[in-house]
Amino acid sequence: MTSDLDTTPSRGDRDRSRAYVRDVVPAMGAHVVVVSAVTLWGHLDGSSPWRFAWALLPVLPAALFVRAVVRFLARSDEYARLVQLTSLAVAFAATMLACVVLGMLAIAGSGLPAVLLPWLAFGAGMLTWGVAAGVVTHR
Amino acid sequence: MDNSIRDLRAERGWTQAALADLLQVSRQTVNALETGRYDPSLPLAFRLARLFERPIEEIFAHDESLDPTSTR
Repeated sequence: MTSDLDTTPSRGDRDRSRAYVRDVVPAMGAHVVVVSAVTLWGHLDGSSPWRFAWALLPVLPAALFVRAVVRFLARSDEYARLVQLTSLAVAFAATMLACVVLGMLAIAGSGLPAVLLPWLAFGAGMLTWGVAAGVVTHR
Repeated sequence: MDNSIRDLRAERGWTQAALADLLQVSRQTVNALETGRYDPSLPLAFRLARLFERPIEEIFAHDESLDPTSTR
């Protein structure tokens, strides 16, 4: 009787999604602006001591992303929080594992560019977070 | 743990989304409860009992065969 209507999100779901978008969109905008500024004016391959300050500048929009995730978790109910925290724990383990594996490969002279290694670990963590969230939700 | 949330909801003609709003949880949480993928916390179980005007033990049935401390 009610099953054909059961896939529509609740009003609370829509409110939570909108609140998350309101948190994430400024973070994405700030990220684009800061990374563009760093690319244009940062001269990270130069010799100015300011290049370190430029290199650290993207931490600010990244902190906005972290704030968005923390606020999303705070707004979530107990089941959503369980799903997210379980998948974050799995992603954390995967990121640690990726760091160890990539570090050992670098020591062994794998030839992977050093600048790529942290991004590979980052990608492994983000990918695992998404996959784990899907698996935990549907198991 | 088995529960009769889906039946109680259907009796009232509520969608999962409507029940989710009444309980102040997500629709996904209601779905996880109904399919037995998630057992609620005590506060949420009490909210369900109040909403359906039934005692908790009438909504939730513990499957003793799955209880490792059961003597049966």
